[in-house]
Amino acid sequence: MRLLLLGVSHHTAPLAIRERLAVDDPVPVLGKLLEHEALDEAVLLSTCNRTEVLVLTRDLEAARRRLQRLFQVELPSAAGGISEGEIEEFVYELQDGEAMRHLLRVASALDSMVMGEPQILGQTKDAYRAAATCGASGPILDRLFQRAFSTAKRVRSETRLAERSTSVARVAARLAGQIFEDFSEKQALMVGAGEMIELALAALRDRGLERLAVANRSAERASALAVQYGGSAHGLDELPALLAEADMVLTCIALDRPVITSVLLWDALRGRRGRPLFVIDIGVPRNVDPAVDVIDEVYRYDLDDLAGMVDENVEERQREQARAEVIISEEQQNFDGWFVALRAVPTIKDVRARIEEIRSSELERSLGKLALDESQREGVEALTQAMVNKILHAPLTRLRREAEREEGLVYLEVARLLFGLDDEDPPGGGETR
Amino acid sequence: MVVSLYQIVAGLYLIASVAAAAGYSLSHQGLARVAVSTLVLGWGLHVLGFATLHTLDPAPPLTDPGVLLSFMACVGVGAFLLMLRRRRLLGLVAFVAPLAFISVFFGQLRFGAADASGVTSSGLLEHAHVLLASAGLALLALGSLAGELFLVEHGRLKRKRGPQLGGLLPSLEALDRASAAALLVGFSLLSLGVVSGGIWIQRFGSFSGSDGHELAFALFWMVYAGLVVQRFGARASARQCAIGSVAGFVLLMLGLLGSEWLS
Repeated sequence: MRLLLLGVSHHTAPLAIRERLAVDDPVPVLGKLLEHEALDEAVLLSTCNRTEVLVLTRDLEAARRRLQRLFQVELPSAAGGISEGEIEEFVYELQDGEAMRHLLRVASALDSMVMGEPQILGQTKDAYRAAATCGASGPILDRLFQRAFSTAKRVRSETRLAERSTSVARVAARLAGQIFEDFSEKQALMVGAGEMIELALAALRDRGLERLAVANRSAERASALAVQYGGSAHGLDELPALLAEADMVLTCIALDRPVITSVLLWDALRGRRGRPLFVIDIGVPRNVDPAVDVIDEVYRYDLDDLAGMVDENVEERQREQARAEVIISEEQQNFDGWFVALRAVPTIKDVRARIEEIRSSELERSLGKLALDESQREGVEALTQAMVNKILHAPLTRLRREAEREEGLVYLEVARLLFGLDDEDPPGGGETR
Repeated sequence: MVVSLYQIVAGLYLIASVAAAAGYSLSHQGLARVAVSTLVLGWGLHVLGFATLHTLDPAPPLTDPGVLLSFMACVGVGAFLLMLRRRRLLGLVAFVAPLAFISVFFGQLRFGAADASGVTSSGLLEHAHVLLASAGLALLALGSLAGELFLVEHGRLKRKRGPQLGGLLPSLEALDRASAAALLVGFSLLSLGVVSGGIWIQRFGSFSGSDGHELAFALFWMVYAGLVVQRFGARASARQCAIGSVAGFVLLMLGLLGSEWLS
């Protein structure tokens, strides 16, 4: 069994490419992937910063070809606007231990654009849940993802990396402070919701922001958010009027195209007498058309911009990151041992089957010669079963343990040789006296 | 005595400049506040110095560049301190204080060598014309400074360079409002200066059209009238207004220097 991961992320691809490869609903994609005979399990993670597919396979080469097809042909053609070969340079590939470590780092927000940000863990859980619901994940990936979640919890509780995400929100609030003099008289408009947006909103409120309007696709959801954040609720159809009133806009809504276009903003800004508009866009794909940057009064920042501005104590971050990496290594080692030990499973199964075959045939032959009643026969059956189990327990345990190390794989080979597991005419399989 | 007072004022403005520069570079609001306090003290003495200027023998004429420069600095600092009471403009002290120091320092150097043959300061109309126009120019200079800082900040924010270090510079909104207020009051004072100058010409001289100073001021007035319309009537963006205010003041300075050179 091999683990294979293919993906694009903010490390390798610009936002314009990432947003085109974003997958809203992973279930159909996973369904199609698992139709391929080489793929046993799969999970697809698609967030604002990455689209990655992790699969368990018995045929690495076939699995690689299938995933390459997904990234280079299927996803681009679904998104449109990208030619097939264009994606190739952005896609990375990781195998086995590297793939495993990568997942642990992703779930722990070590690979995030804003290191330590809180959203990625929830997004990873959602991806796993979607795969589990449609039966795409099996026992191996189940266990790997559970390990990833517990690792993420350790990183959050044992390091201070999570504090870093609040600095992005603080940067947003400080930027707003360089545009506006007094927040108490300003009107904020929140389009959609998300943890980063909430953090930014909290930071703005700390600086005196009071008036808030919430717009969302559904009126019910908008009302719930408005109650949660203490604002008025609106539908997306009211955006033009809301934009005309707003001084700050915070957007994070899942839509496949910008909800705030330059045309919409030009119209909205017409009656504002040159009042500035501060826009934070955390959505992926972006909710605000970058073309609005040409409008003098509009100051737009997306996640890339904000993360790039985080003024942090580099030394402290590196120290915390190093601590987190140690945790990742420990957890990876634990899982790796378990995963590698899985290689012993077929051999152990074969050994058990071979011994059981011998026990059954010998027992059958002996019982035919003995005149035993039913209870006596059951007694002998149990006796031989217990003997076999006792004899096999120590060597099989040792075999499993040794198989956790790369060097221990020789034990598997020896066991297969000694028991003739790969022979057509195995020892002990023939006539015995 | 008066010259010594001006030297003390220059010294206080210099201390304010150093404190403001340190506050700005160290992102230390406390130092910036020290700079403002020193500026307030210096300004109080500056006003006193200007009020007692006539006691100098010979008293320098109001048209003396040194006196004018010093007076404009006094008005500019006063206007800045007044704005500071209503707007969050603390960071502006790092620019106002050095300009005030330079103006007073070079202004007071000329007091001893003042040419008494310049425009006499005997008539109320001359006083009104020179003081109003100079005060107007000082405010327009302050508006231009705010506009310039607005453009720098606007460019930085548009290039997504991140928050400024320490965040001492005023917000775009504060700079825009300061620039608008300075333009409005400065233009009003300039208008009154132009009107009083016009009356003076009608009474005591003729407006021939060849006088560079008068022609230049008439043109400045028209340019600034256009800027007032742009800002308060045409709904131009804050950036366009800032460009207008900077360009207007540059034009004004070039015009003044040109007319002085021609005359």
